[in-house]
Amino acid sequence: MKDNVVVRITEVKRFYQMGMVAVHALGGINLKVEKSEFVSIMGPSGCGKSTLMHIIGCLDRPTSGHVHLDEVDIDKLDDNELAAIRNKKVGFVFQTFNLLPKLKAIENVELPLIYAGVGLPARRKKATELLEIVGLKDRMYHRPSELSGGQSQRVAVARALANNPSIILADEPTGNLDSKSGEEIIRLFQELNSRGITLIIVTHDQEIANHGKRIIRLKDGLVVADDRVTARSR
Amino acid sequence: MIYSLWEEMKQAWRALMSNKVRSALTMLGVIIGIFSVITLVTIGEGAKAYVTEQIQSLGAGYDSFVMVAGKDHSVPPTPKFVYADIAYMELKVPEIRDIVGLNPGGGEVTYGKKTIKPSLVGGVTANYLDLMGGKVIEGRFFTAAEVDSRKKVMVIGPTIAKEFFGTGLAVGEKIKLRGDSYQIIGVMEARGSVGPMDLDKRVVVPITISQNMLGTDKIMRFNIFPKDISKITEVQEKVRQVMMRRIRSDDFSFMTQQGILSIVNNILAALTGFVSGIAAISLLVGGIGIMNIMLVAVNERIREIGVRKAIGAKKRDIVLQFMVEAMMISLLGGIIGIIVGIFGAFLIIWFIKGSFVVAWWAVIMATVVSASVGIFFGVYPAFRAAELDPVVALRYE
Repeated sequence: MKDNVVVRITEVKRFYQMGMVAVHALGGINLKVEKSEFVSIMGPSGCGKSTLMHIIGCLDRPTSGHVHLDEVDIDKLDDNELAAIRNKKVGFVFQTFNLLPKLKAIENVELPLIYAGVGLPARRKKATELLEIVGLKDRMYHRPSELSGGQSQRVAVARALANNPSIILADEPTGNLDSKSGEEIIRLFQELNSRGITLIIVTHDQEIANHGKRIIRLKDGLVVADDRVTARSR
Repeated sequence: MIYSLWEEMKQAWRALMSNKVRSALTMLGVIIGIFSVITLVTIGEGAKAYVTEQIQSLGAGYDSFVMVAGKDHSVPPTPKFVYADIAYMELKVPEIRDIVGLNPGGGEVTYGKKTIKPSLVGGVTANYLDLMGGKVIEGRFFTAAEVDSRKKVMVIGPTIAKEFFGTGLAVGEKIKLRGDSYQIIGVMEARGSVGPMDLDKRVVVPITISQNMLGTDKIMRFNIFPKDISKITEVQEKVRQVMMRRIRSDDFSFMTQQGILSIVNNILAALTGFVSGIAAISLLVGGIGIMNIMLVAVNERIREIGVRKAIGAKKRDIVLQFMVEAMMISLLGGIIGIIVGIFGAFLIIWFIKGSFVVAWWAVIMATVVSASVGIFFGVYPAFRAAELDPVVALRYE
């Protein structure tokens, strides 16, 4: 069983010092995500969803507790090693796409490969393949300003997949999309999941969450529910 | 690492190109600094070459030095040397191989109804042409005996020969100079101009005769050739002692090519120092401008930095990105400064008809300095970018 655990969160707490007040973003979370899971994290704003996401994605460190990614204890890693983990093991998809506007679609997808030290020919090949998977073969040389929201988000998904990460983290990936494009992105996630890719998405949309396999609800920095999505609720 | 450096350079180029006006204005400080130094140094190198040529036109090559009447060049000298001094110096200073005497003068020469103003009417010794470089293509040069006996003979430049006699023979003809009639015994080979003087338009007569012509028996200038050129300073000193005792005056001075060049070099060094100071200030201001713009660029791209960090950029990558960009601004400014500076110097040199020499050492130095300015002033903004917290950077609106 141990081999299949991608994310293991143990008693993770995260406080922020906001002036004089310490804000408890996470108040002791335990969580285990296994390979090929499709998890939705839900909860009202300010419940700590994004903080949890950042901690899982190694962008942030917990105030206390332990985070294991692929059984690597990230507490013990320095900033550069964390950067390497983000590069190789994590793929981020953001609500606002966060593509670099000056780079073409294919160059945006290549960016994580550049940081991984992959040479141009191999990089081009991989990026082309990924853009084909997300259905943007004919938009590879367009800049983000020439792409629709749905297309931009698919470029972002391709970028997230660039280094074959252990997990894809998507923070409100459909939040800035119309419902049709949102549907398409979710379908793309389902397809990727069916290929064995582990996904965690943060959303407040029950419809979207229902497309996953498991829903975790947070409230005030704590897990209040952790349910399998049944066929009926789908 | 090489790959990522190349990638950073491509992306930096793109960033600069997307803000052309801003990039150009930022470069201005570096451009002006590098431009001023390169222009001055290039003109300086040209001036050195020009001065060398000028001195050579006076006949002071590397194998001789000039002894000239008068100490201060701004006061018209009253020469105290006479023809006999040549033999005297050769006797007293055995290290001397040869001495050429020269009395430069002006005047006009007339043949029939035609009058020409030569570039130089020189009274010279018989060894003049051999030692100062040149040949006779028609006839011969005058002999020491002719100098000693004050023969009214003349050797003329080819331009004068052509103007007076066309393709006909010049030797044997007589032309008039200051009322006296001189027999032409030779025509010199064409040599063109050295500095401002057209050598093909000169005429020379025995130095003893020129004394009549100038109304004095004094000689203006000697070119002294030591036997051993490495002892030039010692020979000069001996000549000074000997002549001071003989004429009871120290109203004469020496010029060597090295001596004059070293004066020119000193002036140029002072000028270069001055302009380098200005350039340093310009580069400092330019560098601060670069730092300022890079800080703005970091602020504009906080979100981009967050994204890059999220997808795996290490601190080193972010530092490199902004350093490369800063360095590209300053290096590009430096290169533009070098090109404009060389072009500007070329125009000035062309205008004053000097010689154009590119000082490669200055070009290389300017390149290194401009790149260093970018690195130095790019460090702080780059580290500020690299230190950003990715979570904060990603949330930045």
